[in-house]
Amino acid sequence: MSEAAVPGRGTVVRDAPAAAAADAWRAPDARRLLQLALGAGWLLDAILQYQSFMFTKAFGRMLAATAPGNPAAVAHPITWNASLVERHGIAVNALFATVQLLLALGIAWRPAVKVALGSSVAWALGVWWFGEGLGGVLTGTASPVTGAPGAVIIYALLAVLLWPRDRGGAPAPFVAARAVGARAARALWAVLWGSLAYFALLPANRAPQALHDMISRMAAGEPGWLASVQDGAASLLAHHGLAASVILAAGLAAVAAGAYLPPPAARATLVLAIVMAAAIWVAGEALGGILTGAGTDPNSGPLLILLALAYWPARNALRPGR
Amino acid sequence: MAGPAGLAETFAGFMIVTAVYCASRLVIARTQRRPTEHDVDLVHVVMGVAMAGMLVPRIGPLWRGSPWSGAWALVFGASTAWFAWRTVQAYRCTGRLGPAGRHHLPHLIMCGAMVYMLLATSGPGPGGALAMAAPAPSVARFPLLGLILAQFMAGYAIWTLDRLPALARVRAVVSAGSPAGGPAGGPPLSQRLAACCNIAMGIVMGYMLVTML
Repeated sequence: MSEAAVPGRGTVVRDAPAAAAADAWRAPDARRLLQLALGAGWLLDAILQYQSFMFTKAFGRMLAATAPGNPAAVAHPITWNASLVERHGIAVNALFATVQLLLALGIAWRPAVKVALGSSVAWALGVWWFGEGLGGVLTGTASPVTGAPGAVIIYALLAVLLWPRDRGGAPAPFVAARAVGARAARALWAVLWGSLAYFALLPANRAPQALHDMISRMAAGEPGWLASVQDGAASLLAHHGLAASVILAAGLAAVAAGAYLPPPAARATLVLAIVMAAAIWVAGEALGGILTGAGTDPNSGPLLILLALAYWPARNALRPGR
Repeated sequence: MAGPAGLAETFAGFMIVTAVYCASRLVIARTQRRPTEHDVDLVHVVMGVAMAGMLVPRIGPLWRGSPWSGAWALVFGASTAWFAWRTVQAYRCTGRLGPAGRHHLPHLIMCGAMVYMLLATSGPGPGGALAMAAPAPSVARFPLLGLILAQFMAGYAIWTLDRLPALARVRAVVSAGSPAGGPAGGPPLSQRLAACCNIAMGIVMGYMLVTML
């Protein structure tokens, strides 16, 4: 037993093991808050996966549509998985959704956070291949405007960067550097945003009408206000595909380089990253298609914002245990 | 499980269990003079029954027809006002939102979400919405608000689960004024189980909101 005085009530006698656990509990630090945001993302994904549409054959066909254009070695397993989902849609989808629910709850429950984050990496890699066709990166049609390189791979990246351990040596300049070190974290950031800049300049994306068509397609089935935002964006980009792609790639490249800049400039590029991610999320990704009833996740926009927050320079260097 | 219908029944089952548990808390608190949050437990009882009825309309005949929806909306509108008042009261006492205000805020939003679900549907109601098998235009008015509320529910469930270990189980409360240190009433009812009810309700409500989008 343990005792604690409570003003106006006397003394509270607490159950000893529970009291020890309560005393050991610490308010979430910046990394824990980001982990919880990641957990909330997984939970929303699970809830979306429980939607009626995901239990139908149409979900299997949606998965199968990610196979074309990929090399045979990548495409065949996608087709096999899609046919499995079509045949046993209810059981398989219930399993998918429940796994994501458990990942979310595991991340939120501190004793299970390592197991959950580790499992989320494995799960995300599987979904990236079997569910998203590797985000289309091998098809030559991946576009940052529609969510390349795939939202789920960013979940995996976040799980690695937010791993609950502190690498020894110099204090971390930002949260994402705590687990893997500043050099590796910066490299991962540069690779991700650099690849987005590269995808923006792919021939399929820089054609005069490419961005217009991409955004117009996403507007189908969306509520009126969102469809009109997308229609406006699409008409703004009509016949300006090349110029828009170059500007987009320049912005993405600036964000990629931002991790290597001094803190004030790094903050400016992070703000740019957040603004671009938000714009892409609304205009390009249509909030992940969630409002159509067929969205399996909010797509890459919110995850890119979460990632940017993990790279926000700390006021004071983060020492282990803080 | 037989697909979404079975899923709705499962979630409805969870809500019934939650409502029954919260009702038992109210009874135990009264008979054994143990402290609990009466308003929260009472709202959970009503909310659990209402959510189960919305998920599986055939178990809750009172859900059929718009007059009943309006009546339930009034009930949850009153609950929303109550928790709004509690939040403002907590703010006035300390000059900031503080732990008490932050404690009432999620209940305020959950009651508000119930009002939203009852009033925002233009179709056959959330129960009918759950039966849809293909993506269709939103059945709810203001779907963006529904999405924001669903994300809030997910965040709230995760936040509450993270805080669960901080809620130590209390065995007894010994009165400071009692010379012999005698009991000042039974120990408070489990805060952890109350938090688990919040988690369950947050997840299921998030699901219901998403199915309305």
